[in-house]
This record gives sequence, C-alpha cells and structure tokens, in this order.
Amino acid sequence: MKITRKSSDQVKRSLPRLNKRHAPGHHREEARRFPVVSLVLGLAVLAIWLFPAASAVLELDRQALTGGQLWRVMTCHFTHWSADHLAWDLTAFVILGALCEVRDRRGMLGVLLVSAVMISLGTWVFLPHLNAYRGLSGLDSALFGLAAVFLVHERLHVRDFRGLVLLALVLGAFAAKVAYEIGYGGTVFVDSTEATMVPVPLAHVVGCAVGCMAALWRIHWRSRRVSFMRERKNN
Amino acid sequence: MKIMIHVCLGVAAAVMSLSAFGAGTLVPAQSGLQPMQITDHAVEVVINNGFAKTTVTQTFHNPNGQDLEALYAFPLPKSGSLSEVTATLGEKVINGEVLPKDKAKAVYEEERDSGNEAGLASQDSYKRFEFALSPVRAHGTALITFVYYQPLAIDTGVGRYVYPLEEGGTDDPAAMSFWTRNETVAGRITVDVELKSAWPVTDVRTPGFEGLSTIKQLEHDGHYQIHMERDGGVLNKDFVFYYRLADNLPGRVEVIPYKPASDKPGTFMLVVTPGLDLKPLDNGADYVFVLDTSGSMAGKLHALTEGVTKVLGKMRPQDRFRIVTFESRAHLLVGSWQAATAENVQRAIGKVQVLQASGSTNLHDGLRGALSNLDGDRATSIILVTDGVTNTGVIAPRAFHKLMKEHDVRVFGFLMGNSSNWPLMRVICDASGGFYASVSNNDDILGRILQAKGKVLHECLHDASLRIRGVKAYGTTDGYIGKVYRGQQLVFFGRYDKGGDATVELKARLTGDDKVYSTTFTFPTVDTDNPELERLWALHRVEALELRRDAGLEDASEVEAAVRDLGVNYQIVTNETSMVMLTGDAFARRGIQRRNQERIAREHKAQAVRSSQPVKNYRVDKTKSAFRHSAPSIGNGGGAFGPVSGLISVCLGLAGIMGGHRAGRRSQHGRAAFSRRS
Repeated sequence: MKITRKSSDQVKRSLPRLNKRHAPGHHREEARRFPVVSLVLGLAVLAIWLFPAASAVLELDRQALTGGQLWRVMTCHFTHWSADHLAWDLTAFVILGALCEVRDRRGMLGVLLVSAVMISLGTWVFLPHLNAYRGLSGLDSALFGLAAVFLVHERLHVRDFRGLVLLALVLGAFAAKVAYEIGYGGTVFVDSTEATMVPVPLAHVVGCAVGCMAALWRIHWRSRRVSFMRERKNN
Repeated sequence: MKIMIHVCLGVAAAVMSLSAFGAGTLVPAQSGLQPMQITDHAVEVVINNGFAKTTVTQTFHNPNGQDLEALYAFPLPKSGSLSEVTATLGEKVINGEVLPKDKAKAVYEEERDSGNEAGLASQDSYKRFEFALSPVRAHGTALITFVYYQPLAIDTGVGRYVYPLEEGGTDDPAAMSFWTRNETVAGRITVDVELKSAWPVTDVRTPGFEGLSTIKQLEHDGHYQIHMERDGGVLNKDFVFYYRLADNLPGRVEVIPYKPASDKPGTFMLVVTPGLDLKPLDNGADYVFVLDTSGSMAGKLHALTEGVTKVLGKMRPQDRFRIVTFESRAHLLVGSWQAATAENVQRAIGKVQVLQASGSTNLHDGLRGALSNLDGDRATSIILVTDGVTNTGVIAPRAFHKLMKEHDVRVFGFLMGNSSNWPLMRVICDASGGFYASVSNNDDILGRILQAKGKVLHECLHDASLRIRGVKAYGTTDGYIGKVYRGQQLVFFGRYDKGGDATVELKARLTGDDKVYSTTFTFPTVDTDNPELERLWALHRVEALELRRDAGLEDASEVEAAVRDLGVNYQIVTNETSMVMLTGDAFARRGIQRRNQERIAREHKAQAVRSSQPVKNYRVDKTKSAFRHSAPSIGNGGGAFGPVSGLISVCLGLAGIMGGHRAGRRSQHGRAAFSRRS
C-alpha cells in the first residue's frame, strides 16, 4: 500500500482555523470567556415563560407539527409548563451551558442544535401518545454529557485522580437518576399542581448520548489539531 | 331522615337489620350457634368502557348440627346496582327477581317458613347489601353468586375501582353486640380484574396487594388482566385498583348507546372528558379544615391525620388556614387565620397528629364553626374529612343544604371508609358547588388529596350546563352541572325514542367569558351491545331523585314511589325494592313475572359478544373535536430536570470550576516543562 503524505499546507486547509485555544492548558484563557450564548438563551427562555401565548406557539404540538409548523422541533425546548418546571431546568441550563461554553462554544452550539432535533424526533417516534412536549431538560442532559466528558478528559490529561473520583460520583448520580426515571417514571399520581406534566426520560437519554458523542468527537478533533501544531512547531 | 333516626336508635336497629359490618356472615350472638364458614370467595371484575361488572361468588358451610338461615352483609359499592343473584342450596338453584321491598320480604318469609329454598337480597340505605338464604342444611354448603354494575369515572386521567370489603366502622355498639360475625375465608380468596379500555393505559396498580397480584398486558394497549390470589384470610381490606390512561389524550365526548329495537326507547351514557386550558390560580386562598374526630372515625383517624398533614405541608405561603374539629360539638384547633408559613404549618401538624377519636358526631356544628370568621375578600374552601355519620344536633340533610346555600364557600369532602354517608356528603358538596371523593384506608391517600388539590388550585368552569338538541332526550341527569373542575369527567345517563343526528352542547363561563363546546353525532336506531345501561340509567335516576328529596326539593312519598317503579321495572335493588330468590317452580306458583331472567339473558348474550371482540371506542367527536386541548391527565410531557438533576448539575459545575483552577496550575507546570524540552 502506498502511503501518501499530505503537505502541511494541505492538512491546514483540511482543518478549521486554529488558534491558541487548541494547545494544552488552554482552559486558563477560555475560563475568562464570558458565556454570552448561555445567558442570552437563558434570558430567552425566561422571556418565553413570561409570555404564555408564546409558549403555545413554540411547544412541540403533534397536530401543529403535522400542519407544517416545523420550528416547534427546535423551539419546544425553550418552553415550560410551570414555574417549578422552569426553575431547575433553567438553573441547570445556565450552569452547564456556561461550563461548556467557556471550553468550546462551537461544540456547545452544535450539541444544542443536534440534540434539539434528536430529542424532538425521539418523542415523535417513540412516544406517539405524547401530544405536547416542553422543557429544557433534554438540552440540559446534552450539555451535561458534553461537560462531563470534557471534564473527565481534562482530569485525565492532568492526572487529577481525586477530581476523577468526584466526577465519577456526579456522573453515577446522574445515571442513577435517569435509570430511576425510566424504571419508576410511571407513577399513578403526580402532584398535578406542582408538576403539570409527566417526565420524559427518553429526552434525557437522547440528550446525554448526543452530548457525550459530541464531546468525544470534539476531543478527537482537537487532539488532531494539537498534534498538527506540535508537528509544525517541531518542523 | 329515616336513616338518621335508625342510626340514633341503635338497639332497635340491631334487631331490625343485619347491622353494619364489612363483608361477612352473621349469626345472632345469643343463639349459641356458630356463624357460617366462608369456604371460598371469588371476585371477577370486568371494566369495559366506563362501567364495571362485578361478579362475586362465595361458598358457605354450615358447621352447626341444624339447618340455618345464612345471613351475609356486604358494604354497598358506590352507585352499585345489584342486578343478579343466584344461589345453590343443596341441589336446588334459586334465582332473583326484584319486587317492592315489603312484598319481597313477605314472599321470602313465607317460603322460608314453609321450608322451601328461598333467598332475599336487600339494601340497607347507603350502607350495605344484605343477603339471607334459607335453609343451609346442617353441615351442608351453599353457594351464592351476585352481580352488580357501577359506572366508573376517570379523574385527571386516573381510573379507580374499589371492591369494598373493609368494615365501615360506622356501626353502633348495640347493633354490633347483637351479632356474631365471621369474615374469615377458610379456602381461597381470588380477585380477577379484566380492564378493557378504548384508550391506551400506561399503568395499573393494586396498592397493598402488589406482592399477591400478577398483571398481564394483552395485545391492545388498554387491555389488562390482573389476578390476585391468596389462601385464606380475612375479608377486611378493600381491593383498590388504579389504572392510568396515557397522557395527552384528546378532550372528548363519548356516547355509549343501547336501543333494543327501533320502536323501543333507547338509553345512553354520555361521557364528557373536557380538554380545557384551565390556568393555575396563583392568588392566595383560605382553607378551613373540618375534621371529624368522633368515635366512628377511630379506625380512620390515622389515614385522616396522614392526609391532612401532607396537604398542610404542601400549602403555599400566600394561603391561610384554620382547623376545626368536631365530635359532639365543634372545637377550634386553629381558631384564627394563619398564614401557611413553615412555622405555622409545623405547629398545626403537631396539633393534628395528636387528635383522638371519641364521642358522637355533630357535623352541622362542625360546619357552622368553619363558616364563622370568613374573610369576604378571599376565596374560601372547606376541606371536610368525615365518614358523614352525623347523629347529634342537626341531622336533616335539608338543613345542611340550607346552611351551605347561605354562604359563598366551596366544600370539598373526603369521605372515609365504606358505609359512610355519601348521600349527605353529596347534598353538602352539591349545595356549595364543591365535590367529594371517597377514600378507602387502602387508597393512595395522598394521591387522592393531590387530585383534589389540583382541582382547587386551577380555574374551573362556572355555570356549566349540558344540552342535547336534534334528538329528544329525556330522563337525563339534571342538565345544570354548575362547576366543572380540572380533570373532572362528566357522566350523564339519559333516554331517547328515535335515533338521528343530535348536537350536544356544554355551555359554561370561564374567567367571565361564555364558552360553548359542542359536537354533532348520530344516535343509533338500533344498538344492542350494552343492555346493562338500562340498569345504570335507572340507578342514576334513583340517586338523582334521592338527592332532591334529601335536599328538600321533592316530596318524600313521591320519590319513594318513583324509586319503587324504577327498581321493579329495571330490576335493581334499591331502598324501596328487594330481590327475592326462589326456584323457577315457586315463581310460577306465585305468578311472579320473570323480568330479571329476561334481562339477564339479554345482558349475558351481549357480554359474550363483547368479550369476543376488541374493545370499542365510542368517541363521537373524532372528526370535529369538541375541545381544542388535551384532556388534563397527569399533564403533558416535558423534559423536567427537577431538584435532583439540578443539584447534580450544580455539583458538576463546581467540579468544573475547581478542577479548572487545579488543572490550570498543573498545565502551567506542564507548559514550562514543554518549553524546557523545546
């Protein structure tokens, strides 16, 4: 087999633009980045909540979707049923969003985009009796997956094993919560005044899977970039 | 009224009736005889399209050395129409026909005294069905099978069926001392439930019997079989069965018709499951808890305190509350309005948890205590928890009706246990525009209360009324509904003569606006699938008439006559009619028309057809939905993180921030090393 070697220019052209963030230890610089996207999206969610009429036209409504209102696939995640529903979803979104955004804004936006579509498709296909869907938690789960894999990678990179144990505990707790939802999600009664909807564990599973896969892909992509940088520097 | 007097006159009642017990056999305590043994107890329940058929088969054994009359009492299921009783005494089979109460009793006593096989099934007001069989031979066995039908409404997407066995606890001591009872089953107790829902079911539960029950889901989403079995045991625990419909089902109108022929009147059951966008109420409200601590509540006080404690714990800071308890008179446990702050709630819970049951019951005084010191600027709801057995002070239902009409409050009643006085609770709640719910000790108490709370804390429809146009419908439930709460399903029965296109309209006011929800459908000219509807309709009419009588809106003697006619014509056991059981020869000898035999034959034929077919969906507004929104079930679907996942996320965030700093320091070292290597 003949191995052809690309020139450094060819490699450079095949990859996105490179900057200093892609070098090891980039987090110091990134940590200073203001998580503007997370905050703007968080404010948008709050604004939608304050105008209930907006939620009605943005939620995932099966009938409306068949009628051609395709924007609902993306927007349903930013609508909520109640203040209680909104409170934790939004808190988690801002925290996890900021955590991801300071590390990889593009990755975070990509994950939000893909998981938004995948979660809506998942509920459409696998939950045919669910006529309406609202809530950020699917996207929260995606960001959780993205942030968790990033953090594990960082701890591994700097050989911080205590940090890894802590992360393992947090990840285990999250996995247990999702497993519990799947196993015991079908309670006969839910406090209908405080939770006016049923939880959809599928959204969490799909979101988390998308987030983890995206993170792994981004890490792989970055390692290629870093290798390229080192190779160029050595040359 | 008569019922109340009977309760007061305990000794007389002990002699005249079979007394107030849970399910079990009875024998006079002074007779020196052993009570009948219950060999086996088998229950078959079929829930099909909004109503349930319950078949109870029980075998008795007479352990005495002499022939005996078997007496068996069974708590009256809510809106249960006892329709069919068959007994096997030795080699003779006897069947039931409904006659006016006095006549049925006279026939039974004549046949019994003549030594012939006979039986009698009667109803003791709202408390129980009573069965008498004679003779059960010395050391012989008797087998009795009875069937009753009852409508089942879905509340917030959850269906509930109760097979009542538990002692009501509303007995008067004198009556109890008259009888020796046996509620122990020596052989096997089985309960088989077949659920056939036209709508998908996502969950079924049998609280308290999980370990003994096997649940099987069949091919259709709404078709389940539940089997509960145990060897021996005591018939003292209700079997409660819950099923939850899939979420986000459409708001809908269903019409189940029965019309035996084009020239005969038809009967229909109209079930409206509103799909309404009822918003949560954010304003603070006032709640008065009115708690029954009389002696009859002794066995239920634990459930009461548990439920009230949980509700108090879930109140909002903007709400206020008071607590009134009552036995022979009212007491102010929490007299002045208290904001539902954590501190006030904890203090109140402490007071509730040490309540003791004793004394007689003065419900009227309890309600009057609750109705004092109201704040006209705030909406007030009364949460009344009682078994409804009032025997001191004012006891006439019409007095309660008048009291409630004088005040602008809503009463939400929780009726504890079997044999509880639901007719009185219905008068109170109807007059105030509230609602009531029965609660079994084996129930999901918190769930029941939360269901109710979901209603109280949402907008509701006001001045709702239902009207059918196009086809002349008559004998319907009162068309004026009043309030329609979130998750409430409306069940109506009625009759019609000619089939054809009809429009059903639900008119109401919502936040000041007039709303009309309507759909058009066709009443069939002939439909023979559900003959049981005639009995259900008749029982519904009986209950409506008795409500009006209790509220003082109808003359008692006219109501009694109407109830008697309905009972005999549609062969249901009521307060005015009883079922006498005789052999076919005895019926012929006495010239008693076999109306029930004909009716049962029609019902069995239809049931055989239905059991061989998939469940039928009777929705009539499929093409043009009467409601824009989904029926409120547990709610809609949503991605909810909740506090647990939220806190996990916070932890992850902290791990990220802390780790970032540490990693930063380490990578600075790494970068330095990298530079040195370079």
